Amino acid sequence: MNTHTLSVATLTLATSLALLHPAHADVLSSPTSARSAQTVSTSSTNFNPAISLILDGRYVATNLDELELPGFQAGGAEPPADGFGLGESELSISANVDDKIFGWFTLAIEEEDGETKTEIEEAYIESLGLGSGLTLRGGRFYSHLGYENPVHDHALDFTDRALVYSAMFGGNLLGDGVQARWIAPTEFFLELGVELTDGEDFPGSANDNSIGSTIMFARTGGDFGVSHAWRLGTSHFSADFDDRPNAEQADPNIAFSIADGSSDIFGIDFVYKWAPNGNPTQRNFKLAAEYFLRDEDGIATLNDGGNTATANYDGDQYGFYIQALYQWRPQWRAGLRYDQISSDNRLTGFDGGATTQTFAGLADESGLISDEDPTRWTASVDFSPSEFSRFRLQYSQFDSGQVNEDTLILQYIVSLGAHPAHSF
Amino acid sequence: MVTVIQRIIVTVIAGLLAFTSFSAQAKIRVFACEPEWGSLIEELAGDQAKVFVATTAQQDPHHIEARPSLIAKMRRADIAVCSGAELETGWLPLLLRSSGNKKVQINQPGYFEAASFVNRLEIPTVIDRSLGDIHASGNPHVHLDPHRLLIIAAALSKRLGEIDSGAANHYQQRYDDFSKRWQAATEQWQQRAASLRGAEAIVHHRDWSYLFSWLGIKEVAQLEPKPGVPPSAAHLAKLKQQLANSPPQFIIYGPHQSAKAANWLAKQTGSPALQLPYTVGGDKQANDLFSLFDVTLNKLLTTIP
Repeated sequence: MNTHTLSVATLTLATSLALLHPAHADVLSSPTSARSAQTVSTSSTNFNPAISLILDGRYVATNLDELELPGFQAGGAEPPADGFGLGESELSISANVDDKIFGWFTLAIEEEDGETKTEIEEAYIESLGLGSGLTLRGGRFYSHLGYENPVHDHALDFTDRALVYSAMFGGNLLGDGVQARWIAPTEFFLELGVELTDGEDFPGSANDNSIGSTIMFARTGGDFGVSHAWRLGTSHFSADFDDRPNAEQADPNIAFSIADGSSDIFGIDFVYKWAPNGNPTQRNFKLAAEYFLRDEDGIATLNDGGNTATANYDGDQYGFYIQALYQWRPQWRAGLRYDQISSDNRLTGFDGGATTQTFAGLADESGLISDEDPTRWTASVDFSPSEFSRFRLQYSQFDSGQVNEDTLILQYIVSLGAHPAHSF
Repeated sequence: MVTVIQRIIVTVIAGLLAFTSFSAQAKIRVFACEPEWGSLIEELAGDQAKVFVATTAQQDPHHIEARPSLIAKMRRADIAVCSGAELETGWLPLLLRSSGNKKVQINQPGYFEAASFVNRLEIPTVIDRSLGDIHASGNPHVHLDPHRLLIIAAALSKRLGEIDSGAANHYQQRYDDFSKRWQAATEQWQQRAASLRGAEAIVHHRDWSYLFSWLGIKEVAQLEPKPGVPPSAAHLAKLKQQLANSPPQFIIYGPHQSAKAANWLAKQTGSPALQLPYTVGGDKQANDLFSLFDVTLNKLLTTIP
């Protein structure tokens, strides 16, 4: 193949937007011969799916009974409950469905206000080796936006999620829909992805759109020598919603929600890992940081006994965290995290309607107008007797500007059964 | 504005595609999970393969991060050559799934599990996590027995011929040549190592079972209280007591393991602590499969001449 025909071919391809099928000048055609007959499968699970159960128990000492974040509409994130208690028990079942499809299911069982609640966190199918670096996924799944978002609770580096996730995603973002990811055929790592989902999960909400939210992400990464590895990503989320009520209402007689709104989030995430000679078993270090910027609008609506008061909501918020973890000897690890979130929201064009509400009343009830920048410091030490168990002591100091509280958590997390590999 | 952006996108994509097409030469791309398989491919394929070795001798193949760089390499591989028997269970399945590469999936000819071609030792009859990090398919560290290695080499050579049928003769010739040299070397090693038969060894982890079964060395204990669990003071104290009357000939650990426990026990028992290369690159002199066995035997024979 000479240069000319090659570049013409590639240009034609590119312009016809056949992005996902790069012109591989592979000399090898796909072989049709079956695998050698003497090959013995070494799969441990045979035809049973891999089943993994995560048990999480903790003792929590705190005076914080809700996570009020001034300047942010309540999205459903809650602080760990005081006293002895269980975290999420997480049941995951996964297997190759056939030679083309992989299936994954995660059920979370949790106790909330004395009631046992089960939630399907993930239930998806994914293509297996579709080729050309492309992977398709459909069903319910944790969005691949950011670094921490796709991580299951048990695999987090701290007991709780970063404050910016609590504020902007009400914990983490999941959705029902489809996802396409593509790995570029390059020497360095480059992944592009898009997700189209129902957009029901906060900061999306109830909507009549067939595609409620669109998420895009791009990430790259590599190694510096044998001891250092990194990944840098960026992501974008956008959703339109009809009505987004507060997850927690301060006054049961007054309902606050944001109507006819949209939410756009831009994020950057970075992870760096160090291990001497690339061998993390003795010592290793991890640094992770994420920054999110959210731009929202909508109609702030206060429903007071059947009558509504409204104002135009224009929200600008940002938040970030930076965390470092150091394993100084096998089984022992210490971590430190700093969280900060900030808002600059405006409510304009107040219309009290038939209510007795004032602008100040609506602003106060919304919790959206704040000069405070909530911050949190978290320190932890954990001990992992094996890959399947971890004990963690975590102390955090949360300062919302209005509330200043310390939280101490002693936690165990164990994994029963087949434990799937964790991503970078 | 739109046209400018379109033009930039088209240029970037065209460049990307041209770049990848140019770099795709007549060579096959091999993703070798461990250095021993990288070296074996070099023996069997020579210039016909562009080999990427995912790990080094200084890394524990049980515990590798599924790093972005590894996903990028797996994406472009024509064949992945790994130990199997669940050795890479903590990272390889993730790489395969993330790669979006059809050729290297488990049911494809581009997926080669070395351990699946040989009889494995230590297949557990009881599988329970209280026994530590055990492999249901048996001990996966199969490459340190030259007889098993040759069986794997034959299977791998055949597989290379399947995925790159145009060069099948080339692989066959190289295998024939390798096989001759390897059998001659094995003969020599066996003669040199005759004095090691019956020797007793303590190992950090059961990385050496195939080497020992070949040489007739007896493994009496492990520094790890359970497979995958780091040596504890209590366990080492117990070993010291247990070995007081019959110290073993050597205490063996690998380049990715801490020397601390081995050195402590060596001091207490008088048995020498010995770091063996374990795989290619585990010692300055061990730079291919032949020198790996040479160095390993040299080191063992320093204690039993």
